[in-house]
Order: sequence, then structure tokens, then C-alpha cells
Amino acid sequence: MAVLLSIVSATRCCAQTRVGEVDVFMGADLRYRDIYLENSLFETLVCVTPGVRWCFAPGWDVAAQLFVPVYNDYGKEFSKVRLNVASVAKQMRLGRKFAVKGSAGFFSQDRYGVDFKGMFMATPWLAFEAQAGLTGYSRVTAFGWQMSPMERLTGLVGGSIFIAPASVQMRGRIGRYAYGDWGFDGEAMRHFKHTTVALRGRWNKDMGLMFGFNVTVMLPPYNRSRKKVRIRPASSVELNYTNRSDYFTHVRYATDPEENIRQGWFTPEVAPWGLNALRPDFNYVEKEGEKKKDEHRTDAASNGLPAASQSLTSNLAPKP
Amino acid sequence: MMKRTVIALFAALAAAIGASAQAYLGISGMMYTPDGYTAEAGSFSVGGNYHNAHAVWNDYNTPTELYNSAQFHLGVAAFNWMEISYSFHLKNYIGFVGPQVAQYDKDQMFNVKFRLLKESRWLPTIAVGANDVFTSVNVDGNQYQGCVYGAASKTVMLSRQQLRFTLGYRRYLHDENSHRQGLVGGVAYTPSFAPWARAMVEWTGSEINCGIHALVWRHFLLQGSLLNGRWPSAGIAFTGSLL
Repeated sequence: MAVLLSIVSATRCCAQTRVGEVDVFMGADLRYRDIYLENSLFETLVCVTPGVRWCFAPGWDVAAQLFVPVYNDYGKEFSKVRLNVASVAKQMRLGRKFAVKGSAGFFSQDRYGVDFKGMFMATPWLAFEAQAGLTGYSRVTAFGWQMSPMERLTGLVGGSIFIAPASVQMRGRIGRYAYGDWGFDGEAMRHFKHTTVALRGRWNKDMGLMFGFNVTVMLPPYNRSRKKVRIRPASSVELNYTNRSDYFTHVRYATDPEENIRQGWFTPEVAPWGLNALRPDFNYVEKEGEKKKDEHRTDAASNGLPAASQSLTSNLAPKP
Repeated sequence: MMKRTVIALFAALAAAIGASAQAYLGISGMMYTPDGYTAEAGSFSVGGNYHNAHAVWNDYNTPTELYNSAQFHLGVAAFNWMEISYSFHLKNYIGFVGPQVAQYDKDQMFNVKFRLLKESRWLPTIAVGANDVFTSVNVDGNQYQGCVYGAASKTVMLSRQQLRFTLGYRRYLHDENSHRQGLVGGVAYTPSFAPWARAMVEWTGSEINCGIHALVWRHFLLQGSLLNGRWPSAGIAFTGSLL
């Protein structure tokens, strides 16, 4: 059975950004697969991944990302520049404990359509999450565009437990995947300062039991300016390993080029739960004039959290 | 003998290594023998090793037909009491495609180690672990380095010099390396003038190995060893803390 190992660079740029700010970023995507061809080591695919994000209204953003192949053993299908993500998304908090997000556009894994996500932060250590999407196949390359009707319903439901003293998060989710198969994901994550190591067990109706791991490293610089246009490298690099996989089983698309296992679906302001409530990976350095204006906010967030995160964290904190 | 010793030392130093090893798997320990210690929480290691043909036996690498191999690893101590690692073993051999055509055998493995008892003034540290614990082929598939073990270690300070004694028991899951099971152990010595280095002698159940580990520039763990005092292996790893 094929073994697929991929290193994916993604970005996390809209977190804590303000309306009007634009992030231009670029990372790299390295994939290699071991299909056990005798006399062959690995087949490799290396792409650079330029992307852009624009926060055009509170909670709204537009993001796009291209995959530009620079080395390819995967065949003709992967030889062209292709669109990874081009989506518009709105995320917001409902009350104190709900966070919701809606996205539309072109998603990763060659899907397009609409997608909704929700999170219920029951306690500081327990949260439930759900996702539903209606998508179709779409592959946009420099030389063509293939599509299928938008009629595949996918979704998942699950929960997370966050053990703050040990920086450990356990997550379980059951769902229907992009090609109609269904299965279960269980993850045990250990969060470090800017790195998360996750062990992963999966069961899929079509493929059975799988296991693997994920290492996500948030990349410097950790202090970001408040420029209107920020040009910077990708903010995270992700190493994924699974012992068995193929292209059509247990596939879940991402609606956002910055999605990663460490930070989840939402920005810290919208869903300050788990690691997002404890410490953001990136600090935004205010200009001198604005520093004074926002002084009361930083005072409130003595641990460096944004004011919104701090207030919600307080709300969620257990009462003495 | 003297010549052999000098060559061994140079090989070891050239390859250099540092802190604790069993480093070719990304798990703390000696060279090819586990010990009772676990690394501090957040410690990680990313590296590669060259193994002499005598180091790892498998279906293609038998005592009568031996090939050198390389190994890469990624290891992390999730907690003070738990280490996990992934390693990838690349074996080059002459296969059935043709008599002189090099082929590659790829063996991937997961390894885990738990510390059961922390070292105290009188008591040793005790750890148990397993290498190459999963297989996706079949029961007797490709777990060439699959083993379970328990080990106890105790450090003794002599002035500013450190001596670390290890005694353990290991059992292999696959016949190819079963000659290396049973009682294992060794001694590691860190001199006062080089606290960043460690010289080791170990008994694998079959061979007596010696080697040196050295941590240079704070992050680079260099290791060199002589299997059975004769066959050199070497490696390098980038280490650090995620905390």
C-alpha cells in the first residue's frame, strides 16, 4: 500500500489582522510518496505556494493561493500551476460560547462549493465542533478547468478536550469525506511553544485502520508589523505522515490556505479556546501613535492576548 | 591493537555525537542499546546515520551477504516520561532485478519509550520501550528492528566526572536480530574536561560496541561507534528544545 508523506507550508495570516490589511506570503509544499517501486526511492513533488489574504471587513476575508511546481515526479497532472484555494470567508462569535464560519469558493483537494463550520466552547477544557459542506470537483490549472456539479455533501462532528497544565489536546471526529467515504479521526496533540506534535489514528470504511503523525511548526518572525501590506514567508510548516493513503480516501479539504492542526479553524479572537486562549503565536507590533490609543487594551491583556480574547477567556475560565 | 584503537577514536570523533543516543532511532539511549533515561520534555532530534553492514540484519542483509545502510529519524520527548520517534531505514542491496543492480529496501518504524521510575539518590531510573512497534504488512512482516525492552540506569559522579551504568533486557520480534536479545547494558563516561562528550562501551547481547557522542555548537549531536570494536558507524543529529 502506498505510503504518502508530505510537508506542507501554510500560512496563518489573518489572525489578529485588521480591516484593510493585506498579507502576501509564500511557502513551499513538498510531497513525496513511496509506492514501493523496486529500484526506486521516492517520487517527489515540490511546489512553491504564493498566496494573498485581504481582510476587507470585520470578520471577512478573501484568500487565494497558487501551487507552482518546481520539481515533479508525480506526472503530467501535477506539472501545471494550479489553484489551491480561492475563497471568501466570514467568521464570527455568537454569544459567549459559539463560533461560526462560512466559506465559499475554491477549496484545497480540488473541491469547490460552500462550507460551514461551528464550534461550541462548553468549558475551558471541552469544546464540540461540526462542519458541513456542499462541494463538487474542480481543478483549475494554467491550461484548463475541469468541474463536476456541486452535489457532494460532506461533514463531520466531534469534540476536543484541552488539558492546559500539560498542554495536551485530545480530539475525536467522525465524518463523511470528500469522496463519499466515511470514517473516524482520533488525535492526541502535545503543544509546545511554537510547535505541535500530534499522533493520529484513523479508521476509514474503505481503507480500515491507519495511523500517522503531524508536526506543525510556526515559523518566525513572531512579531509582525501593522503595515497595510505585509510581505513575509509562510507562517507555518507542517509535516504529515500516514502509513497508508491514496488520493480518494479520507480526504478532507481546507477552505483556507492558513488552516493547520495547531490553530484550528478560527482566529483566536473568534474562538479563544484551547491553545488559542493561552498564547498567540504571533504578536502584532503597533505603531507608536496607535500604541497609546490601544494602551487600555494591552493593559487588560496582561499576558499579551488581544483584548477580545482576554475577555472571552475570562468568561470561560472556571469561577473560583 | 594500538593502531586499531587510534583509528577507532578518529572515526568516532570525526563522526562525533553528543548527548545520549540510541540516537539512530531518535530515542535516548546508548549506541545500539537502550538505557533507563528519557530526554527532557520538549527535546527533539532530527538526524541521519550511516550503519555498517554488520549493524542491521534483515531478509536482504544476512551474515553471508551484507550491505551498508542509512537511517533518518525524527524524535521528540512529549513529556519528561515519554519519548516517541519515527525513523526511516534505507537499505541498498543487490536484488533480483539483476546481479549488479542496486535496489533499495525502505523500512519505516515508530518507536516509543516510557520512564517508569525517576532516578533518585539511591534508586536507578527505569524505562521500558518498544522499537518498530507497528507493521502494516503482516505479523512476521518487516519488523526487523522490532523489539521490546526494559532498562535501568544509574549515574555516579566521581568528582566532576560522570559514570553511567545501564543494565537491561531486550527481546526482538523478528528472527534476524534475535541474537541481540537477552541481557544488554553498558557504561558511559563523561570526563570533567569535556562535559559535552560521552565515551561508551556496551554489550548488545551479541557484540561489544564502543563509541563517542559529542554535542557541538549546542545543537549538533555527532556520533561515532565501532560495532564489535571493528566496524564503524556514524551519525549526526540536530537537537534542541521546543519549549
